[in-house]
Amino acid sequence: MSIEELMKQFKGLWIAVRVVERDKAGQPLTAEVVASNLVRSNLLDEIYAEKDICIFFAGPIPEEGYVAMF
Amino acid sequence: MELPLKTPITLFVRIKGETGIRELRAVLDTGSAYTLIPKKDAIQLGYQAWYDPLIPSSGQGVKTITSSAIIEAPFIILQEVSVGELTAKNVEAIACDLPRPSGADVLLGLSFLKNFTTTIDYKKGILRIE
Repeated sequence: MSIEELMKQFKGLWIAVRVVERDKAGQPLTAEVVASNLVRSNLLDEIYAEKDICIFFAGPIPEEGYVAMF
Repeated sequence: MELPLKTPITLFVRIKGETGIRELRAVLDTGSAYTLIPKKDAIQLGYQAWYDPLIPSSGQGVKTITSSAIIEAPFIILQEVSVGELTAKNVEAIACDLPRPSGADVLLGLSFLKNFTTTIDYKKGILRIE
């Protein structure tokens, strides 16, 4: 599934995926889902043993209604 | 390596530790001296990110000025940080969590960017790191 599709399907959740395909810049294009959770810390407990895993929030950065000022 | 520019500038980075590799979504932050990664990820990757200023033997910390506060966070050296084919070794970092609404996990700071030439071209809508 593409990263964009994952963002829609798992909207509002943290997801852990194995990357299947990358673009020419090395950014993930498609991936298979390993786990998802509303709470990031709980997701990390689930995927603790994974040796190479990609984790991200399925939503915009920052979340809607916020402006980022790092 | 070229990426389309977004606001904020986001990209996936791969962080290597003793126990494996974690790929996380980062915000490019040219105002951060160090890179920032979440504390629990750092620990799971095998880094000694247990620092507590009240416990003298808990490792190394660093006083960090953020936009709203001064915090004392665990200081670690990341073995490798990669974006695409670009890899930096021994990247200075702090282990600290961003607030939940940020949606991001990592601040990719100057401790990574100093190894490369970075061009932010808003007219062309391109981020180039080489």
